[in-house]
Amino acid sequence: MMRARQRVFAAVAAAATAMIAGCTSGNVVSRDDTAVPQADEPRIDDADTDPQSRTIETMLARARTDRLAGRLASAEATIEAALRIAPSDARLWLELAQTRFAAGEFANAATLAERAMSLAGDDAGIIETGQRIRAQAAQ
Amino acid sequence: MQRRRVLRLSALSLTAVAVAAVLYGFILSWQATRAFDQRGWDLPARIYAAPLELYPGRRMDAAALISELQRLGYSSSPDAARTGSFERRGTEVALRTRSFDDARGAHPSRRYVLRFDASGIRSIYDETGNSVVIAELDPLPIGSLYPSHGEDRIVLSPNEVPPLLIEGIKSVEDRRFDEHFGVDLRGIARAAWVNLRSGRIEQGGSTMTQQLVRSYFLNQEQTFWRKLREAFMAIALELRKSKDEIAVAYVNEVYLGQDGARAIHGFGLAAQHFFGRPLPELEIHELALLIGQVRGPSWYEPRRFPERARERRDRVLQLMHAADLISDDELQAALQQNIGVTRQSAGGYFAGFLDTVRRQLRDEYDAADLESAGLQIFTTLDPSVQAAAERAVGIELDTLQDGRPRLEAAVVVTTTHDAEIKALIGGRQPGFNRALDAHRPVGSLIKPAVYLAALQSGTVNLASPIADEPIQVQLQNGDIWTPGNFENEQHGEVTVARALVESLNMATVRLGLQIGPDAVADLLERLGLDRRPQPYPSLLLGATDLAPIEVAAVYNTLANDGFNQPLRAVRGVLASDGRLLQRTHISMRQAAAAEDVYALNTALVEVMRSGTGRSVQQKLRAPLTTAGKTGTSDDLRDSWFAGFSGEHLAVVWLGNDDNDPVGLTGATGAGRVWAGLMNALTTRTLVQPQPQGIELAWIDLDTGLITDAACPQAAHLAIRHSDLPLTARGCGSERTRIGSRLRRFLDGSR
Repeated sequence: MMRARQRVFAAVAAAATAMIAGCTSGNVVSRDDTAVPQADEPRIDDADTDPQSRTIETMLARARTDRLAGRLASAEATIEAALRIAPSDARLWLELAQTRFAAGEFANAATLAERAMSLAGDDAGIIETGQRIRAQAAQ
Repeated sequence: MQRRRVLRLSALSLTAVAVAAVLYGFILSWQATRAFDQRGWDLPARIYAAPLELYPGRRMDAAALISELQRLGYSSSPDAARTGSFERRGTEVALRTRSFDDARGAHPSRRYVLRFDASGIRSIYDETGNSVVIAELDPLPIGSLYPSHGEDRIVLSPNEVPPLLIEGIKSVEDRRFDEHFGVDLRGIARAAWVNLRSGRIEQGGSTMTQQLVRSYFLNQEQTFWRKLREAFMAIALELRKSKDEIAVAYVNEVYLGQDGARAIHGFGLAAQHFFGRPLPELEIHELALLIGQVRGPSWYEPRRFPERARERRDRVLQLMHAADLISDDELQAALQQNIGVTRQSAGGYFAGFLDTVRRQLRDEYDAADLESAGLQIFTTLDPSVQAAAERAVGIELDTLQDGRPRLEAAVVVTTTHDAEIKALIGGRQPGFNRALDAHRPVGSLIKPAVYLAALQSGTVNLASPIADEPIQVQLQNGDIWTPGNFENEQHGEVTVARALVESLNMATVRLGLQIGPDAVADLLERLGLDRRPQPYPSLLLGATDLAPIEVAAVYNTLANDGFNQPLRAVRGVLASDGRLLQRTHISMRQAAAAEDVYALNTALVEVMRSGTGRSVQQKLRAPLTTAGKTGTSDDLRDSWFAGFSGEHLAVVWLGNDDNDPVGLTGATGAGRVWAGLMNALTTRTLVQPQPQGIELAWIDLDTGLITDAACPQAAHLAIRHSDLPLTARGCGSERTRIGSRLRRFLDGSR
């Protein structure tokens, strides 16, 4: 039986938690409403996404492709550059963990998976993949 | 009979002298050749800073980009047509990079167009019109690794030396270079004649080869025997080496200036020092200025004596013209130019950082590997962060040095997520690298480790009570230690958080003894110290000597949610054939549970908000959340500050080499430098990811009660979920304290 004050406290704590968890990247999100696409400019899809997010998405995709194709050194270099831009993005740490795993560095991969999970908030997908990597690395 | 004996003796002694002379000749020849070979262009490894990475979304305006390009020696050029140039057109910047190699392979010169908006880089396009996600610029060369004498050079290979430079040097210094055999008899005769006629030494008559030999063996005294030796060595060198080899060696060796304690040898380094640009990019009038420096680097120093430097340069231009090296038009155009020297030495002399690189490489490689030809070493240094750090030290120490003439400083800056060293300052004077080698008592900087150990034990949380009251500790040798607070105050029962926030010594010792100094020593080792400190009670107040880089290793782990990585200065090494020799990786281990580090850091944020670091936080211009700790050692001998944002960690130490008190606290000394540094950086605010099982609550720092943001002595701190639920009370009211409730619960009472 929660008293009224306890309920208020719990609500405040929950709201605070949600706010903190929501700001994991710590980056300033910007939107540019003033850019008018020029006639000779290639069309940009998702013109509403901020440039940095698009940069990270592209780099993540590129790294993933490289990893799956076995170009591990290139994948790693791309992820490390992406991490310099968004060091709190759990997906990047997870991708790095998978790259190390593919290179046979299991202990490293496990720790990087832990790092990813520590930044994942309540992103179930990342936590699940991270746990899987950790478990596989232990074998 | 007598005469035959005398003759035989004379013959023998003459033979002996002749043999000795020949042997001596071989020795001199060997010395000269060895000195030459050791400095051969193909020996040193080249060291580069981390390359500037441009990407859409980067928070950097056009002016800041231009500034970085200029640091790299890029110049403005219409339509950015030249390699190493840029053009700004309003909110657009076009640039053409120089080609370079790195761990990913060869990068050809590319032209990019960047568009900026209010928040930074909006888009980047290449020549084919494709949008680009990362544009990498050629990295700034920051030095060479010369295992034999450790000096600084930007050593040029023969095909990097502009032919005009060599011909120009010959026309000024040694017109018959290509003909003589090491000494120029005509030149000597002419000089002797001129000197005799004028009654004093006017002309030298030394060839380039002689000058080269002279520069190998530092002593500049020109006695007769010295000159003779030099002449002999020059001849010997000419027998062993080709004219081209000697000319290039000369270009790389000749003394051209002084930058404080650092000697500028070689035209490559001189181009960087005087013009901030690579030698191949210099124009005729700039080459002429450098050539003019050979005859008198102090006398013709262009920043101190611009008139003399210009006159000398113009004389050189005339000589070059007379030798048909430049046309009439080129001569006239060059004469019109200002000397064009930058206001201060660009390219930087990162002595402390280079030292760190050399040591990290020595640990990983054989000296033999490092001496092999043409290695390229890619480091983690960020020249703009280094510049910010040097500027902050310079500005603050200008004031702080009043009455403290021997005040020294050391700084280490890292990016926290990958533990890369972005900047390092070993001291105001080069020589002793205080960042790596000055082990000094850290004082209160140690406290976060004590409090983290306490949180880890599970027996206390940030709201638990602890007595800030006198305590007597019996040491192993039987002495009694009575730690006191700063200004000998005592505060009675306070929260654990407050004891850390206000750096209360007595409470810290009490808490530390409860946990045990062994636990603290163990934790420090796990957090990143190479060796376990002695677990004496005095460890709890920082009576242990650490170098700034060791402090940085520990605090970087705290900034990284408890994940420890060794600090890195090197990213990769490339062999001369482009083969990748080594790449360092991000590699970490979890040193402490994320929940405990998170909680600790909420207290360290409070240190900056309302605690001993608040005067430092107030100096920050941007609304930046930071966590930090001040550190002051006994008698105010050492002033420390360690603090981090969401992106960078900086550790600053101020003190005297002879250990005399500096009369500065962590906040009034090192903290000021730290704030100046952070103000000059573009850095992200600190936002910690909140782990599961942790709640944030407003806690009254005095009573440990839950309150709200309106309460003046409340701090936003983290408490484990398992330590809750509790009854919320108002601000400042007593009774139910979280900590004592927990204790009673653990004791089994209700």
